[in-house]
Amino acid sequence: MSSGLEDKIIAYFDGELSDADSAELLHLTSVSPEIRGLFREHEMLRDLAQESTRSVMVSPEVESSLFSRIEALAENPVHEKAILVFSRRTALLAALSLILISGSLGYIIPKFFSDGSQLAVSSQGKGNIVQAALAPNSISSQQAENFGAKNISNSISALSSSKHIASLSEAPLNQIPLKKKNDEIALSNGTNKRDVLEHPVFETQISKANSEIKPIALRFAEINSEIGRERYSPFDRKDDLPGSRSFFEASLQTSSGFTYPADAAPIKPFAEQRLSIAYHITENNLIGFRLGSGLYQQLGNVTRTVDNGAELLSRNVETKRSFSEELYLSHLEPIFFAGNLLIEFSIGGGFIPNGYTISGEAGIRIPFSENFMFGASFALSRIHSNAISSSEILASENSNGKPVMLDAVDIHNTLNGRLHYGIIYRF
Amino acid sequence: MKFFIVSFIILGAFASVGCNALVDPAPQSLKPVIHIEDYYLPLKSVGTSYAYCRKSSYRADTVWMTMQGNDASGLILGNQACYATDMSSQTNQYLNNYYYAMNDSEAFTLGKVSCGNHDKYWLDLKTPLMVGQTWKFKNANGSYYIESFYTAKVTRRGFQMKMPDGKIYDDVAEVLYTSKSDSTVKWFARGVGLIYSTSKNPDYDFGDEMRLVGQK
Repeated sequence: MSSGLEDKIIAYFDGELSDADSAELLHLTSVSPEIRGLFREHEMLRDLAQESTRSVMVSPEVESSLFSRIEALAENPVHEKAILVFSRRTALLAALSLILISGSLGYIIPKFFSDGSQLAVSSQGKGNIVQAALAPNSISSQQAENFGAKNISNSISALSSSKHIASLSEAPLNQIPLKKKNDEIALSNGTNKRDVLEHPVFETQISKANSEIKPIALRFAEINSEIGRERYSPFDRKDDLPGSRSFFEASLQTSSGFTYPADAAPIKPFAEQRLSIAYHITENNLIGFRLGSGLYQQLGNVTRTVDNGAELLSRNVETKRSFSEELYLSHLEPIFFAGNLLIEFSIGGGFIPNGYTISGEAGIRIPFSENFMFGASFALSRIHSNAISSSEILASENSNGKPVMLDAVDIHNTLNGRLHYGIIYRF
Repeated sequence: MKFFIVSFIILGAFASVGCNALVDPAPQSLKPVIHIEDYYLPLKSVGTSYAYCRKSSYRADTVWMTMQGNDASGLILGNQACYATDMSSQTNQYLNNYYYAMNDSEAFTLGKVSCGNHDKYWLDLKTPLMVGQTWKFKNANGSYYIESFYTAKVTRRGFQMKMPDGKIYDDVAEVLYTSKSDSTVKWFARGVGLIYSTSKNPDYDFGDEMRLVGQK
């Protein structure tokens, strides 16, 4: 079990584990201290391997720039050409497309050129790179074949077999100590640097490039470093991760719902609004301030009339729009259910005119970009009104010799149920 | 985890104090009155005396009304049984017998003649005593020549009323009696009976205003 589990952990860090298996692994990691320890060990080993190989890694930029320069030599060995740099994902897709296209061409073209040799067809099928690299230097066809598609394919496969090397370094070409062949540095996938640098094809390729390619000012484009594929430990402080240095969030939400006891129709959609600003104490816990414009049922003012010869005091519960100011604490719990979601639990309290409110809330957040989330939650709030009671009203009345009637309700505490929904922006 | 524990404690605290403390109950809708005697004078309570402050344009005194019970022999003239009270005032110690009739659904003032020959027939209350409920009756106000047709309407019920002496009555019903020449309003408190009345067409027995000022 341990071995299988370790394989899963390794696959997880390699980005080869499916989402479902990843979720299961993270769950196991979160509930089992032993598995968590194992997870941390692999994490540390991976970090050590990354650190030790950082100075000799060949990055995707290097690969791309190398081939781009080879291609540039075919057209103009002197003038600088634009360099197209792709992300690995794009490159992978392109590679797959090329494979399909080339495979198709490899099947179709022989039908048209049935008298051509297999070698010619093979060279044509992979001709772009071969011709681009060799034509300007008048290399023989045998050399072309040696340095051609077959070997380059081999070199690419050799490079891509050392995934960690290719994926983790962003060192520019001129900083790579290519001559340090004797360094024995173990890589996480079992290969070592010597395997890569002493590979005959790679060596030939590098030496040819050094001798035939004139140095030009390299331009490095922004490369998407596969954020989507990168896996992080759930125990990493998110603060250390790129793109998560967002300590604040703002949200604008509207709501609808009900009030109990109610004297009015249900609160219609978009009837209430609230603006929240929150600070992330930790990644999953935040404290915030909320300014709301809501409909609250509160005791109205006492009106005084003379009815049937006697003085009548009356007061009812009224639905009033008021501003509220609240402080709240929220806890976010990430879950995976048909996508990455966050369950949110909040408690809060604040003030409304002549009263206060305390609330509990539960909801869900659905990220739809790096910074934006859609949030929906259901809140139950107890609204308290500080208005004086009926007995206090009567006690303060001086009847002046006449009876006084009081027709009033005494609802000081109401319960608001609200469905809030809106946009959350993290920054 | 701490968050859940704290939240659980808070919610538990809410639950422990009960929902009534969390939210005030909704005002209960008025229920129909089944026994009209709940809002009428305690006619069955023999010996109970109510003191009313009686005001009119020519006098102001205190009237004592003492319950004599149903079918009190010697006080009741005629062949019909009814409730009797005696009325006296500080200025006039002469006891006037005053008669009332009551069943589960209606309560009447009959007058001071007899149970059978009622000169001031007045239908005070009628079940279910709901707001907006009306009833009609004919009243001669002691006259053998003029009769007035009254319409009674329950205009308010279930409110509080504070008297000038500071006493507060809960669950009061207000009934407005109108005719062509009169507008009389009476307030009845549950468990007490008549606590206050005003009239534009003064009655000699009750004046312009009657207000309950004491019980014994």
